[in-house]
Amino acid sequence: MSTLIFIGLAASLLIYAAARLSRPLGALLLMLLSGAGVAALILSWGKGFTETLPLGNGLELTFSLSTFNWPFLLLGAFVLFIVSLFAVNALKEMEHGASFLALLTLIGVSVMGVFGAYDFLTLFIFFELMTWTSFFLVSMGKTGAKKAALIYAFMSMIAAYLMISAIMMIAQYTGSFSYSDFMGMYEAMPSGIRTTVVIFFLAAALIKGGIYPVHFWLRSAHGDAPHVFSPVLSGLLVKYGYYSAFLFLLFFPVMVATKAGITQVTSTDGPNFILAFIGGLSIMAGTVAAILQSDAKKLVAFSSVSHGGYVILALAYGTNMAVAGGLAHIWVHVLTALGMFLSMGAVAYRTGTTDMDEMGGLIKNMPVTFTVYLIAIISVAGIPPLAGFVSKWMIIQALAANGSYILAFMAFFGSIGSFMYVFRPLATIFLGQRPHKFKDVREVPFFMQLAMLIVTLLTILLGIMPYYLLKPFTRIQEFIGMVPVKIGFSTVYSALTQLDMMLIFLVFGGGFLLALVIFLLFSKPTKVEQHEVYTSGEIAPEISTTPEIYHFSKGYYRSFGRLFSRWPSVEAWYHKGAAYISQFFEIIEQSLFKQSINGFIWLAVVVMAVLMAVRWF
Amino acid sequence: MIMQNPVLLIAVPLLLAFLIPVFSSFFKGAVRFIPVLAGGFNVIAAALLIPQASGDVAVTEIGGWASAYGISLLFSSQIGYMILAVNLTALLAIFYYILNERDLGSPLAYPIAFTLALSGANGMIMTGDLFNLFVFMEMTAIAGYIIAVHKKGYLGTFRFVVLSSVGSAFFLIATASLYNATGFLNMAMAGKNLGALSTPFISVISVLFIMALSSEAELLPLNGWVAPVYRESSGAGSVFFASVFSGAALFAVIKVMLIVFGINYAYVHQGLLVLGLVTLAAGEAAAFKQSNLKKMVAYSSIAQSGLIIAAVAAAMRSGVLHNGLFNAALFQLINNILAKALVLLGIALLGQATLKEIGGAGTRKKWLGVFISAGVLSLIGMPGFAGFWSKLFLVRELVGNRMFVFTLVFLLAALFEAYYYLRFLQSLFLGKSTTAASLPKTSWVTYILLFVLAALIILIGFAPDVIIRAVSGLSLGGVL
Amino acid sequence: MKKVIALLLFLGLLFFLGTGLEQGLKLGDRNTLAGKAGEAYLKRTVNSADPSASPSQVEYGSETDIEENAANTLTAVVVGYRSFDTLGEVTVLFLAATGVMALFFASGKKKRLALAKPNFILSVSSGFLLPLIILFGAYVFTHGHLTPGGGFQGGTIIAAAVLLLYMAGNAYKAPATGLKVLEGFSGAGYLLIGLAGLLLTGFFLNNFLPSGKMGALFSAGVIPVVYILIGLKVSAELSGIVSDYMGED
Repeated sequence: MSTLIFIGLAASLLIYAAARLSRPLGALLLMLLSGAGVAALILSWGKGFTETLPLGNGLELTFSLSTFNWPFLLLGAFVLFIVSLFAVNALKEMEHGASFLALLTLIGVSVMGVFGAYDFLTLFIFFELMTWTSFFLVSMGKTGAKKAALIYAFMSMIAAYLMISAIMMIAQYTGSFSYSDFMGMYEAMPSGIRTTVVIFFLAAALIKGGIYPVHFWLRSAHGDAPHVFSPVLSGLLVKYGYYSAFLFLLFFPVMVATKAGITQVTSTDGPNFILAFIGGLSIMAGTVAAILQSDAKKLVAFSSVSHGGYVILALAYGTNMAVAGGLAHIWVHVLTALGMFLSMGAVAYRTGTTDMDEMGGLIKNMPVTFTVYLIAIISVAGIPPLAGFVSKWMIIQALAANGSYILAFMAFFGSIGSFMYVFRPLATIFLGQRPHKFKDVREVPFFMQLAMLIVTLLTILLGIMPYYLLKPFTRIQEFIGMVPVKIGFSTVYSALTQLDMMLIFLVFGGGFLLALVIFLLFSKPTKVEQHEVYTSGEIAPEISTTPEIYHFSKGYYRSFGRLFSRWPSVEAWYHKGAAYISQFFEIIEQSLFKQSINGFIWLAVVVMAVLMAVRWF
Repeated sequence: MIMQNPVLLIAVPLLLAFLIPVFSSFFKGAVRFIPVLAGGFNVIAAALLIPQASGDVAVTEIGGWASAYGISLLFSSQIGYMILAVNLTALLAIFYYILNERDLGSPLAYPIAFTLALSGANGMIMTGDLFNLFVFMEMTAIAGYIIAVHKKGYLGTFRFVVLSSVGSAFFLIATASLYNATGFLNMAMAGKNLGALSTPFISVISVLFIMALSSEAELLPLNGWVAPVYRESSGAGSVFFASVFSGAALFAVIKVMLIVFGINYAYVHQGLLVLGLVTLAAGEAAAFKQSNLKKMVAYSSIAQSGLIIAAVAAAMRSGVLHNGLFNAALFQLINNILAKALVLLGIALLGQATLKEIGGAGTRKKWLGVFISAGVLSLIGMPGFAGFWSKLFLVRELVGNRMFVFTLVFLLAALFEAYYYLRFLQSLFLGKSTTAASLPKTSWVTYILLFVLAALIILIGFAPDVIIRAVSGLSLGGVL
Repeated sequence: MKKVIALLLFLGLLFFLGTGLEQGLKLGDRNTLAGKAGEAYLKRTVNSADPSASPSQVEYGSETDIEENAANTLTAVVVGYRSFDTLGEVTVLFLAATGVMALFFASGKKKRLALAKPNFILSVSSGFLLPLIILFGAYVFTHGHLTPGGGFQGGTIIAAAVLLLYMAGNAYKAPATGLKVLEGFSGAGYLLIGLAGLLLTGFFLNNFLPSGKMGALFSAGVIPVVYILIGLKVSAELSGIVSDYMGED
C-alpha cells in the first residue's frame, strides 16, 4: 500500500499538469485512478495484509488492509471516484481548477493513509496532510470561504493536537506506535492513562465528525466550500471522526476482550451513555438548525451534523444491532450526502446560486437533478424502501428493544424533523414558481448526471438488497468478537421482529404502479403556465406587483424559527470567545512590545527583580 | 590538515573583512564579492569539518595556551551542524543582497557588516571562554546595528542599540563577578568551581547572564527591538537577524547554561523555563494580530526562541540531563534557522508589506508561492517538511517526561501559529490584492537560493535520519 | 508615583545585586589573585606543569625564555595570552568606525564643521608640535611591550594629532583613501600573523618569533609587531572618525 501512496503523490503532480492543459482531462485521470482503487478494493474483499515502510532512526509507517477498515477504504475511493466524475464538467469556471484537482488527489492519498494506517504515527501524519490540503480546498470557495477555512483548520488542529498528545502518552506507555501493541497492553494500562487517551481521541473524533457542541465549523466550511468539494468534506473527511470513534469505542476495547461472543460491548449506563446522549443532542440540534437555514448547502451541512449524531449514538450504545446499524449508517450517510450535495452543486452550476429564496420551479428544467435529490431525501428521512430506512430501523430497533426511550425519542425526532428540512429545498428549488431569469436553465452535462445517477442507483439497490450494505459490517462484528446481526439476502433479523426489504419494495412498487395506472387512466389534468401555479392566476395584493417575486417559499419556516430564536448558539459563543481572545492579545502586544525605551527598561528591571526575588524568598 | 582547524571559520572572514577597505579603494567592483567568498569558504570548511568531528566535544586551544587559562574553541558534530546551518543561511542571504539589494546605503559598510556578523556568529557558537563570548557578542551586535539601518530605520535600530548595551553591561558585571568568585574565565573551569558558592550568588549571576543574552537571542525582556528592526531592515538583513544572530545567540545561551551551570542548579533553569514559556505565549499572541508580514515573522521568531530555551531549560532542571528533550530542542533550532530564512527571503521578494497587499501574489508567481509555502508549512509542523519531525519529537519528549503544562502551552501556541500562518498562505494564493502594484521581477538565480533552502527542508522532512543522528550526542564530558 | 516605584525597584535591585554578588566582588582586602587564572598570567606559568608554582627569577636585560617575554605584564596578557580577544576588540573598533562612516554616508555630503577661528599661536605651533606628537605616539605603541602604553594608546595619540591639524585652521583634509588602506592592511596584517602562527606551529595567534632579551626592543616575539599594527590601525580608524565628523569642504 505504501507504493500506492507514492503513486498517489506522483499522480497529484501529473494530474496538475494534465489539468493545466485541460480540466476535464485532469478530472478524468483522477476518476480513473480512484476507479482503479474502487475496483482493487472490491477485488480484495476478504483478503488482508500488513505492510511496513521504514523511515530510519527507529521510525516506521505501518499500513494494513483488513476487515475492519475495508469499508472505510472503499468509501474513500468511491467518493473520490464520484466526485472526480462530477468534476469533469463542474470545474469549468473555477479559478484554480488545476491546483484543486492536484490537492484533491492528495486528499485521496491522505484518506487512504488515515484509514489504512496500522499505527498511530501513520495515522497522525496522514491526518495532518488531510488537514492542510483540505484547508486550501475549502478556501477556494466563494466569499466567506476563507474565514470558514480558517475556523475549520483551527478546529482540525485542535483535534490533531489532542490526538498527538494521546498518541505520545500511548507511545510512552507501550514503547511503540503500533495498534497491535496498544491493543495488547490495553488491559494492563493504568486506568488514568487509558481514560485520558480515550477521552482525547473521542474529543478529536467529535470535533472532526462535526458533532454538537463542536459542530459550528461545519456550517460555513461545508456551506461555502467549492461545490465540488463539499461532498468530499461531508462524505469523506467527516467520516474520519466516525472512524476514530469506532476504533476507540469498539475496536480497541473489544479486540482486547475475549473473542467469545458478545452481544453488547458497552453498558448503557455511565460514560457511554453520556456519549450516546451527546449523539442524541447532535441529532436534535442538527435537525432544528437545518430547518432554520435558507442556504441549500448550509442546510445539508447541518443534516450532516444530525447524521453524525446517529452514528455516535449507535456506536456508543454498543449493542450488536446498534453497532451494525451505526456502521451501516455511515455508508448510508455517504450516499445521501453525495446525493444532496451533488444535486445542490448541479443546481448551483446552472443557476449560480445556492440561496433557496431566489430559486423555484426548476423541476421541468432539471428533471434528473430533481430525481436524484428526491431519492436522496427519501433516504435521509428514513422512508422505506431505500437504504436510509434500513440503518435507521436498526438503530431505533436497538434503542427500543433495550428500553432506552429517551434516546429512541431523540432518534425519532431526527427522523421526523428531517421531513421538514429536506422538503424545503425540494419545494423552494424544484417546485413552485420559476423566476424568469431561470427560464432557460438546462440540465447539467452528461458526466455530472452520470455521477449523480450512480449514487441514486446505489441508494435504491442497497435499500432493496441490504445484504450488500450490511455484510461488510457483520464481518467486522465477527472480527472483533461480537455476535453478528443476522441478515438474509434482503432481510434483517432483530430481537423483536424482522425486516424484509424486498417485500416492502414490492409493496411500494406495487402501490406506485397502481397509482400510476389510476393517474393515467382516470384524471385529465389541465395544463397551465408555470408561473400561474400558486396563485391560480390571482395576484395577492399584499405582495407587490411583478411575477418574479411570487416566491411563497421565502421565510418558509419562519414561525418554526420563532420557537427556537432564543436557543443558545454555539457558533455565537465561539465568535464572542474569539473576540475576547483577540482583545487580550492586543493588550499583550501593547504592553510587552510596543513600549518606549523607558518602558522597556522598566520591563527589564521588573523581570530581573522578579527572577532574583523568586529565588531569594 | 591545516584546513581542519575550526579557527579558520572565524579568521578567514575577519581577514577578508579587513581587506574590504583596501579593495574599495582600488577595485571597487570587487568589494561585493568578498562576503560571498567569506561565506562560501565557511560553508565548505564546515562541511569538511563535520565528517571528522565526533559526538564528543573537541577543544582547540588558541595561541597554544592551556585551555583552562587561555581561550579555547569547542567543536563537535552537533556544533558542526549548527555552524553549517548558520553559515549556509548567511551565504544565501549575502547572495540575495548582491543580486537584489545593492542600492542599500554605503556599499562599503554592508559587506563589512555582513562578513563580520558571520565571523562573530561563528565565534559565539564555538567559543568556550566567557569574555571571548562577550567580544563576539559585541562584534555581532555592532554589525547588527549597521545591518539594521536600511532606508532610515533609525528608531528601531536605536532601540536595538540601547537594549543591546544594557545587555552587554549585565554580561560584563556577571562575567567579572564570576571570574572573581571562581578564578577562571573558561566556561568549563568556571562551572567546575561553582560548587563552593552560595545560592544567592548563583541565582544572581544566572539571572544576569540570561538578561544579557536575551537581547540578541530575542527573548523577553530585552526583545522589544525585534519587530521594528525586522520591519525596517532589508531582506538579507532580516535573514541575518532571524537565522544568524538569533541562532548563534540562542546557542550561546544554551552553551552557558549547559557548561557553566550544568544540571545541578534546578532553580536557575526553572526561571529560564518560565521566561521561555512566557516569551512563547507572548510572541504568538502578538503575531496573531499582525497584518505586516515581517512583523508577523518577527514575533513568530520571538516565540520560537522562547520555545527552544524553555525546552532546553526543562531538559536540565531536574538534576539529570534529558538528552532526548535537549536534542529535540536543538533540532528545532536548526529547522527554524532554515525555515525562517526561506520565509523571510520569500517575503522580501514579494515586495509588499501587508497581508492585504500581497493578495493573490502566489498565483502570479507560482514558484515563489511554492517556496514560501514550503517554509511556512515547515514552521507550522506539517508532515513532509522538516518542522514536523522536530515538533513531533518535542511533544514526545515533553509527554514522556510528564511536563504537561509545558505541552499544553506549546500546543496552544502552535495552534495559534498555525492559524495566522495559514491565513498568510490563504492571502498569498487566494486573496485579491488591494494595490495594483506589480510584483518586482526576480531573476532565476534568486530562485536557486530559495530552492536550496526548500530542498533541504523537504529532504529533512522525508528523511530525517541524517540530521537526527548528527544532532544527537552533545555530551557533557570532555569540554576541558 | 512611578518615581517611587522606580526608586524602590532600584533599591531592591541594588540589594539583590549587592548581597548576591558580594561573594563575587570580594570588596576590600578579600580580593586577591590567589587561585585565579590571573595569577598564572602574572607568574607566566600558564603552560607549565604546575601553574601555581612560584615564578622563576628573571634578570632584566638578559636572555630569558619565560612565556611571553614582555616586560610589561599587561601587554603580555592583552597581546599574548588573550590575543584572540584583542583581535575581536580591534574588529569592534573597525566596525564602529565603519558604522560612523555609514551613517554619515547616508545623510549625504556634509559641509565642513564650523569651528571657532583658531588663534595665531595655535596655527603656528601646530606645525612643529605635530611631528612631536606623532613621534610620541609612535614611541608609545612601539614600546608597548616594555613600558606602559601600547597600540590603542599610541594610536589615539596620533589621532589627536590629526584632530589638532583640523582645529588649527588650515584647510586640512585627512586622506580618506590612504587611511582606509592603512586600516585594512594593518588589520589584515594582524590576522596574517595569526595565520602564520597556525601554519608554523599549528596554533592560531601563537607567539612564534624568538623571545630575545627581556627589556630589549626586539623581544617578546610577535608582540611588538602586533602592537605596531594595532597602533597604525587605531590611528587610522580614529583619524577617519574625526575626519568624518569634520565633514567635507
